[in-house]
Amino acid sequence: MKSLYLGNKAFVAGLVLLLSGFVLLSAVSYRNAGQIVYREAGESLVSVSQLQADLIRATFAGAERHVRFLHDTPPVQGIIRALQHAGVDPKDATPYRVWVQRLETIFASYILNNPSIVQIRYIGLAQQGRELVRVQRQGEAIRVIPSDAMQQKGERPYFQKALDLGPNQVYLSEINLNREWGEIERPSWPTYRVIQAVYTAAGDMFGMIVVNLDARPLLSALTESAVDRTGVFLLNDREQFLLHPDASRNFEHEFGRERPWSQTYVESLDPFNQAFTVAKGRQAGEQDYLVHKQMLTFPQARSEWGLQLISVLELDKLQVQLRQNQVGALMIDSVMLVVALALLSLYWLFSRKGLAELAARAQFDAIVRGSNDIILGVDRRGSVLSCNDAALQSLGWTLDSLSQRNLWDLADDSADKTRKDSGQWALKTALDTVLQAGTSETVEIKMRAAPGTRGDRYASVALSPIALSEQVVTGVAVIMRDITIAREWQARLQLANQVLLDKNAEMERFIYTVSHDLKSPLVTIKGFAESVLRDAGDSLDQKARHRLQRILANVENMGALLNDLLALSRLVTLPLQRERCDVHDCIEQAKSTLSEKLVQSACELDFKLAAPWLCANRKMLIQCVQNLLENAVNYRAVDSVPRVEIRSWEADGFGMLSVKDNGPGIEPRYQDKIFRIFERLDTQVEGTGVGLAIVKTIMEKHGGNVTLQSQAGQGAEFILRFPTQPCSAEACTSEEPLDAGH
Amino acid sequence: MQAISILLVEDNDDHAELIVESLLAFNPGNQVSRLASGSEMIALLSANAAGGAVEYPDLILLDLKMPKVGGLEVLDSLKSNVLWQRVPVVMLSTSDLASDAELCQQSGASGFISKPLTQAVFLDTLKRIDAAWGQ
Repeated sequence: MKSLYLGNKAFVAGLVLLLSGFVLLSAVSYRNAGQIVYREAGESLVSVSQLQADLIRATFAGAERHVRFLHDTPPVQGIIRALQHAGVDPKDATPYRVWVQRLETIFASYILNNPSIVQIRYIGLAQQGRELVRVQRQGEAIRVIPSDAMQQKGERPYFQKALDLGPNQVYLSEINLNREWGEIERPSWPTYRVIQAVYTAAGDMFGMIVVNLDARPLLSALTESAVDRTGVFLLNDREQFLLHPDASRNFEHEFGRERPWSQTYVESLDPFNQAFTVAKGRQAGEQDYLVHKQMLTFPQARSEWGLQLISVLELDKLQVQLRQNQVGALMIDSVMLVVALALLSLYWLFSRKGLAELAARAQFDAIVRGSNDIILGVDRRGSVLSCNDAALQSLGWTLDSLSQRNLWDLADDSADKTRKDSGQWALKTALDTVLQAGTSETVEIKMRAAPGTRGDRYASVALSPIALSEQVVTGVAVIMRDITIAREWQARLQLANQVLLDKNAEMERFIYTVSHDLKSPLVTIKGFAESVLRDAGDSLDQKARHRLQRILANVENMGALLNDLLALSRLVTLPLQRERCDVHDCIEQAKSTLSEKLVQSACELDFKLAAPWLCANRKMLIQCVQNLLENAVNYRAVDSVPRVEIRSWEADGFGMLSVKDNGPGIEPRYQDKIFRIFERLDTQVEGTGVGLAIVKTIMEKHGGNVTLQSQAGQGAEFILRFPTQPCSAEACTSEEPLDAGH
Repeated sequence: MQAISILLVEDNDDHAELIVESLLAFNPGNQVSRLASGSEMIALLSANAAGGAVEYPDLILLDLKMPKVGGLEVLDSLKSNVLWQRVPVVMLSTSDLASDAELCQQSGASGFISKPLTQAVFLDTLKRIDAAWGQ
């Protein structure tokens, strides 16, 4: 699975591979394009050349047919016979003159009907090759040359060649420029001759028929066959140009300009196929060609000469085509490269996503594998499809038996599974709900006892839908957690809670009992003591009266003690409700309760309330201020007016309140002791010894504390510290904004 | 104060003696009778309901905390009894718990007095009951 994905390194490698492949492919394409272009051009040259060769052969064959036809006309032999018999043909008594006239007529009409024929002559061997009949084209007209204008041709090369011809043999001359009287006729035009020897009936050579032909139609036909930047060269066997694409170079050798083919061009093989010939001009400005050369020989030429036919294609044109092809190939390659790059990139992106998914899946796998919880995948019918190691271990399952397991196997099967309170029923119901509603469900069940375990075990089973989409729920993921220990702790906690509640109730009963039953005897004592004092007061002596009064005073004291004790006990059991308390208001409340005492002692009170609010239980805050204020007055220095300063401020998230007096102060060694219940430093002063214990309890109940700063003789400052946090929550009711003044 | 008839329901003999003494001290013409437990009061109600002749007191002083049948239980019985429900009941307790006083008031008591019974408090309570009746 993983190996199918493309990592970053593989992607880069792929890129490099792709680019080198592209370079290689481009090189091959470049070469292929060259090969194809050169081959196609070369092959087309071959076929063109073949046609051109055929044209030449056909032309020469036509020339042969002309001479043979003319040779076989009756006047040719008639003239011989007339000359042999004193000017009259013995066969039909035709005179020499008539045969000549007849032949002239034939020659004339032949020239008329064959445009390429320029001149036809009948030359006899006698008299150094004297012409017997001569008809020639002269401009548009056809002229029969009179006998006095006849020439002797015995010295001309073609005459000499013809002397070697046997009966019925034909000689074809090379093509060259026409000469009159040994000079090239101007304007020059190419010609060639076809000659057949004429033999007498006795088998002696008599003369020859010479047909002069104009080579221009042939050369023009060749030139015309070369179209579309092809060309044709016709060379004689000395490589001199008979036909050149540059017409000015035709027959240049006849004018003494000797620059044959091999001096004009350098031949080499084509660069791509090494099969075709390339001819490059030796001089600048000359065309370069792809060439096809063939040597042509003709039986009529009697192997004395041949022609070289060179069909050419301009290399420039080839290069243009080559470039087009190469660019085309390159473009195809480029398109392929782009497509391949795109595919590679897409695959890479897909792989990145795939790899990320794999990584995520690996993480999930690790979580599932490593989990101590039992994790199962079940299908819609509850059959187990997969599970983690914890499941195998905890349930004692094996992978082989997995397919026979289902969801209900998790639950204890001792109970009737059709009962609605059974674990199996709960699991089945939860599965149905999850499948129908597509939501998650959690149920608590008693676990089926695994082999080797002891005691009942309980589990919380969470079922979540495995959804391919919102509509399609393919199965359910089941996570089962053993909550036996948690349940035990929960049970213990509930028990402990209950014990605490019981203790609280007991405490309340105790308070109630104390307030009723302990005070009941006091009421009795007080009542009877008072009635004794009232009824028998006068008869009692001073001492007895005093003792009765002491009884009453102690009863009062006992009552006060009990009241304080009750107040303290009630503090512990009452739930704490905090609010934002106006500090000034609370102090005023405390003051009014103590007003009598404050007036009597002429106490001077001073407030410095930097924090106008405190987060506290209002009644308890008042109680604290009252107790501290009362202490300050009660324990005042003997000889001075009590002066009390109350301050409030905020520090480090705590609301602070301090009550400072100018009393005798408290020695450090007693400072812990005074907060204990019923501890009093001076029993002469009124009080029960509970006031500071109440303050301490109240502060602890608030999560704060009370501290004392004092030295003997220097007064005492009690500092209360209230956490402010609870009042920032909604539990605390605030009535006014903080900055509201008084 | 004018003389009235008072029924005291109090289990503690000492307390009963002191209260009776006080009531007579307030006005020697007061007619005070005493029942020594909540059960006795319930029995009286039953007898009355059964047709027994009874003199209804002007005021019932009922101790809150008594063994077996407590003051609140007796108060409930009184207030649910058509013959007795109009008789004002003042609860007595050694405690001064505000919660007790509140509970008693909710249960239909006309007053709550913390022992010992003093003349000032008693007269004040009577005044308030009169005022309530007057309304």
